[in-house]
Amino acid sequence: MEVERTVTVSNKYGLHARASTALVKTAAQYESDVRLGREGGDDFVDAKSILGIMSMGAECGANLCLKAEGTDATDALDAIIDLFERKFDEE
Amino acid sequence: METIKGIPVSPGISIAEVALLRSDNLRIHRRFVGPEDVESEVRRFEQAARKASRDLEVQIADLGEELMIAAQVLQTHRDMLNDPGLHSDVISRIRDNQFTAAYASSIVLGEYHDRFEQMESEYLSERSHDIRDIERQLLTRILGKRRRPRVFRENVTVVAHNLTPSQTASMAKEMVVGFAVDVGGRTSHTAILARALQVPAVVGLKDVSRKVVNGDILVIDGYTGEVIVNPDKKTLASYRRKARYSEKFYSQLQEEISWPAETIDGHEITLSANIELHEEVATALEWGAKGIGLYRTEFLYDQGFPDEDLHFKAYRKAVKALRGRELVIRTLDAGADKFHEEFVGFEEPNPFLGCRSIRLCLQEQGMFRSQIRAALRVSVFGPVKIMLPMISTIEELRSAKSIIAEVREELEAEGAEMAPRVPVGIMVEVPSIALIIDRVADEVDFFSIGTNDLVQYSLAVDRVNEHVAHLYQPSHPGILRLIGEVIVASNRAGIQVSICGEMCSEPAYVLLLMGLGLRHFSLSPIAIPTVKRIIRQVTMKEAVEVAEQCLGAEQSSESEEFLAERTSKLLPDFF
Repeated sequence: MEVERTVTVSNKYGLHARASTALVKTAAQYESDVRLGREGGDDFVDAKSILGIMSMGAECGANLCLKAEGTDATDALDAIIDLFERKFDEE
Repeated sequence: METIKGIPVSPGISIAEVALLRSDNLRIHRRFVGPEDVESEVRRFEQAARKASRDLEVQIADLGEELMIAAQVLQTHRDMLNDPGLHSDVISRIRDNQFTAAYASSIVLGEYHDRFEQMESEYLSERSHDIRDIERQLLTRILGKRRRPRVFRENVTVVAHNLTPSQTASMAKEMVVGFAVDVGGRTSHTAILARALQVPAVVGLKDVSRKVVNGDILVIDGYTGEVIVNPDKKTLASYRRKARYSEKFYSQLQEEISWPAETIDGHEITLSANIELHEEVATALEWGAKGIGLYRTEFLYDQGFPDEDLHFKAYRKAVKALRGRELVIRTLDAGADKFHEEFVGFEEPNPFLGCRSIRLCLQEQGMFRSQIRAALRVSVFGPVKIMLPMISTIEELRSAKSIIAEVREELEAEGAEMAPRVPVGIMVEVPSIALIIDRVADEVDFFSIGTNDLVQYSLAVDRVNEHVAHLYQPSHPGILRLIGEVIVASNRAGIQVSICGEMCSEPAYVLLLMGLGLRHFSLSPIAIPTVKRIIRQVTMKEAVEVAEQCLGAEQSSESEEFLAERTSKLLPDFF
C-alpha cells in the first residue's frame, strides 16, 4: 500500500535536532518505508535517517510531502502528521 | 598583555590559567582493500559504530539530570551514529569502491559535513561540527584508539580551536570556569553549554588557541567578548572589581531588561546597540536594545577587501536576526595603514589625519561600491540605514551620495529588489563638519555623533597616549557646545540625531547628554541596562539643569566632579 500526504512545519525551530530525533523515533516504530521531501521537489529522504532529515533544512512554514509504502503505511503517516501538528511538543 | 575580541555567548567574568586543548588530527589516507577483505571491513565499520554509540550511552548516563542539555547533544550524536542512511552509504562505499572502513566513513561524513556547513541557517551550519565530532568518535573506534577525557585539578579556562560537542559535554562536570574558542557562534555547543553551566564564554576568537600556552592567565569578559591574555596588574585589578560588581549588579538588572527607558516625567530615550559582528545582534537584543545604531563593519575587512557576497551574507544575517528592528550599517572606518600593500600600499606617517575611512572609500571606489551594493540589497529584508564616517567636507558627502545613487540605479537595472528608500546619514566626528552642521542638515537623513573621534580631533588629543590622556575630556565645554549645535541643526531640519560614542555608555554622562537634547543613544550592549537604570530615576527637568551647569562650567574638571557625584547617588553599587 502506498500513501501520500502533505504537512506544514509549524514548530518554531523547524526540523532541528530535537524535532528530527522525535520524527525518526516515530517513523522507526513502523515497518513501512517512509520518505519525506519538500512539496513539489524531487529530493526525498528516509524518515528514519536523522542526518537525512536535518540536511533538508526544513524551517518553520516549509511545506513537506510525506510518502509511505508498506502494510502499516496509513498508521505511520497518521502518527507522523500528529507529531507535526503537536509541533513536536515544543510549545 | 594582548586583547582579542570575539563573540560573547555566555555572560560573566572569569580569571584563570589556560588549559589548552589540542584537537587530535586524525589523518585518514585513501586506502583500498582486496576483494576478499571487503566483508571484514564492513563488519569493522559496524562494530566500531556500535562501540562508539555505546561510549556515548555511558557518557549520557554519567551526566545525570542537571545537565540535560549536554545529554541531548550526545543523544543526537548517538542517533546520527545509528543512522541507517549513514550505514548504507558507508557500506556501499566499502563494497563498491573497496575503500577501507576508515576511508569510507571519512568520505561519507565529509560529504554530510559540507552539506551542513553550506546551509543558510546558522543553527544548521553549526551542526557541521557535530558531524566532525561523530566522525572522530567513529574513527577512533575503527582505528582502535580510545581517547581518555582530560581531568583538571584546579580551576581553568579551556582554550581550543574548536571544542567538539562531546568534548564540551565531557567537561561539564570539570573545574572549568571559562571558555575561549577560535571558531563557533551563538548556537554552538560551547555557547549553549556555557550558558547552562553559567560559565563565561567567548567564541569566534579566530586564533586565540595559537596565541596562548598552558599556564597563561586569561581574563574572559563574557559581557563584551573581550579576552585578555596575561593582563598587567592594573587590568587584572580592574577585572577583579568588575567580576565582583557584575555578579551582584547584573543579576539584579536582569529583570529590568524589558522595562522602557523612560524618565519619571515620561520622556523616552531610545537605546540601541553598537556591534562589530552580526552574531552580536542576539546579545544586544537580550540586553534590551531597540535596534542596532552602529554596525561597525571593519571586521569584514580582516583579510583585505571583502567581496559583495561576504558583506551581503553578514548584513542579511544581522537584518534577519533583528526581525524588523533598525540596522545602521557604517561603511568602512579604517585607515589605509590597516591594509596590506596589495590592497592599498602606502605608509601613513600620521594615520589619524591620513587616508582613512570615507577618504579611503572615495579613492578605492570598487571596494566602496561592493559594500554599498550589499547594504542596499539587504534593505529588502528589513529596515536598513547607511552611515558615512569621518565626513569633513560637504564635497565628500556629495561624492559618496552620488556613488550610492549610481549603485542604486545599477541594481535597479539588474532587477535587484530593494527598499524604496534607504536613509543615508553621517557620523559627526570631525569638528569642521560640526561647525557647518546647519548647511549639511538639508543633505542627509540623520546625524550620529561619534564622540570618541569628535573629542580626539577637537581637543587634539590621542587618548591612548598616557602623557596626554588627562586632556581627553568629553565634558569639555567646547565639546558640549558642538554637540548642542548639532542637536539644534537637526531639530530645525527635522532629522534624527543620535549619539554612538563611548561617552553615552558612561553612566556619568547620561544625564548631561539627555539634558543637551539627545533622545537616541547607541551604546555597547552590556551598558544598556545600567544606562536605563539612570534614565528611569530622573526627570528631564533635572537633566536639563545638569546640562546647563556643565555648559556654564569653565573647565571640565568642575563638571566631572559634579557629574560623578550625581551619578553615584543614582547608582550606589557602581562606584
